[in-house]
Amino acid sequence: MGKSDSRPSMSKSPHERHLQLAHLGAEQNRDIGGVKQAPSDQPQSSRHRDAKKVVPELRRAGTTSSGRQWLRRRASSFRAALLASPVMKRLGGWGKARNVFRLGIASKRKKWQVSEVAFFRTKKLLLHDAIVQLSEQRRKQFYLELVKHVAFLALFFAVVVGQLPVDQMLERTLAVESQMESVLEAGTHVLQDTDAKGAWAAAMHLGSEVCMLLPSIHCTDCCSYNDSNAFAAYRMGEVRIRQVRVRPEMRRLFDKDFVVFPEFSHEAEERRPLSASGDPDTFCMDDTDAKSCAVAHLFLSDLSVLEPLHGSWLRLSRGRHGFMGLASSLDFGTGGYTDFLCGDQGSRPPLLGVGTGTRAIALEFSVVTPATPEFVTSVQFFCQLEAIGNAVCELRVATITVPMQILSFLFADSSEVIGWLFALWSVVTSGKLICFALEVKLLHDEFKRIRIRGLAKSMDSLGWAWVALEFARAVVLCVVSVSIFRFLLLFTEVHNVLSFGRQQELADEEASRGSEIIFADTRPL
Amino acid sequence: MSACNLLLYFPITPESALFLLPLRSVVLYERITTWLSVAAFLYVLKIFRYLQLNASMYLLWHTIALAQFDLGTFLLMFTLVLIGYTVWGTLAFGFGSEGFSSLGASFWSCLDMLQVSSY
Repeated sequence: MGKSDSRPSMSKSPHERHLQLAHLGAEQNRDIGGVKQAPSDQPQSSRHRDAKKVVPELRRAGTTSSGRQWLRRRASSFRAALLASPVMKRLGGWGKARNVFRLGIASKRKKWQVSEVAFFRTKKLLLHDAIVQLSEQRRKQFYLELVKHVAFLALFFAVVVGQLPVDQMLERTLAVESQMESVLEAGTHVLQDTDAKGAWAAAMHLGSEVCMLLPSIHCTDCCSYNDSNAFAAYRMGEVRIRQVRVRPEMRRLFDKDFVVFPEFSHEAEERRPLSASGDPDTFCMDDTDAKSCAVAHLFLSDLSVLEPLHGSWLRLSRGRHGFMGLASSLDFGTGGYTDFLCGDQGSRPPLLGVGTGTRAIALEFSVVTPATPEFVTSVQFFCQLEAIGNAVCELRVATITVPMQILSFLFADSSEVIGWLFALWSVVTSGKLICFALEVKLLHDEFKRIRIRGLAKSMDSLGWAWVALEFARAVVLCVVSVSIFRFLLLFTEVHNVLSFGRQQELADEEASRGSEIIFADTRPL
Repeated sequence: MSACNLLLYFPITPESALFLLPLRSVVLYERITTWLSVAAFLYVLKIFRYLQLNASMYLLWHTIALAQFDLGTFLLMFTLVLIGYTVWGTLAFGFGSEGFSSLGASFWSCLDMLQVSSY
């Protein structure tokens, strides 16, 4: 059989044809490794025959790479390598078998790698979509928060700040100052005077001048003012003068005892009744003496129930330093030895002058104008008398707006006006409450977010600035709430005092009629 | 002695109580308005947080964030130098000048000196 007749002929019998095919395969396999192999006459299975021919070649090559090349040609899959492995074990030894196994595992690993890459690529796309959705959601949430915050700001400025007519209050203050320029001149003149007796004289002079210049206004006089007087300033109530004193102390210096009056402090404040003997530093020692001599020289604290909760005179102390030399504040309170200058003195003895124990002199009065009843200007002339002998005086003129109930009580007896004022007050108060609730809600949301994210994570980059801002907002909210609460307490106490005064008036009227005294609250605020 | 007994000596009329109200509420009133001003400032400041949606504002904010440690270091050095001058001023001039009579006053005096126009 020549080379030209190498193709199997279809005319031969099946057995002959099988033999021819086997011979052809042997001929073809003989070229492996470039070495001619002697043909074998014995009929063998193709797998057995292939292995028998290839393994010697692998032995001659002695390298794994040749085996791998063969397997890459012969075995197209891991299954083929597994099929070949028993033969390899028997004929080639464990090293070749191990190589075959490794090859299979590498193939499998490659498939895994390909599938893993595809898997992660898919996951990456999904993750990207999720991130885009999340950022979009966060952006929407951010915009929503911005809208909320702007709404809150609008409400805050409309209800809280908008209700403070700052420019009008300033104009009102300047008007009162210009109207009382001649009177206040004496007060401002003494600011340069550093003598305690000079301060006392200036306060008395200022008080008497105010009594003459400004007529008093009463609650029941609202309808008697004509238009020409509507723009004039009136004194609301009387002019009050008070002095704050300290208790004497015994101190020893160079084997001698001295009576000294220390610097002012709450612990050293004097509250015993003063003697009317003319010496401002002597006191009534028993109750009998006190009743007879100390009517005008009792320690009197107005609105005493809330002291020191309500606003009193606070000033930075000179000469008293707190921690590390920083100035500390002194609270002179609202109490002291008090007298009213413009009222009917009656049987009351005049208040004694300053003594060695006097540490502060205060002259206080309020000014109102019927044309602008929502403003009340408070004038305070305050002198701190230091233990070393000098006086530090200060004149303060400040205008505030008073709540509607007080105005209605002062200037309006008509129930229609009271109703209108009450409605306006209700609207403003409701707005303030809504503003407060919104602020609490916004703060709650912020702290909730901080808690979820974690404080440390919230403070990365410049996040600490926002965290600090939120805490500052919380602190400011607390301080404002406490101050407003104290303001309301002050009004409650005034209401109580007014009720008590009305009950007293009623009781006096009833007593004068000789009938039974009935206490009744006649007119709630 | 209770407040009611005192009122027997000094009967507080409604006029008296009303005139006491503004006198006593001035300090509280000023305190409330002061803190409200601080609150208003903080509320307005918070808008910057939402302005980060804008690219330019975010860039500005990011720049500040990157420079925060340098700025903090500079501020620390500045404060240290100022405290040094404060102590120096207090000990050197405090006995003769009111502006340096305490550490607090001296600190503000030194800070005022940075405004050259005021001197």
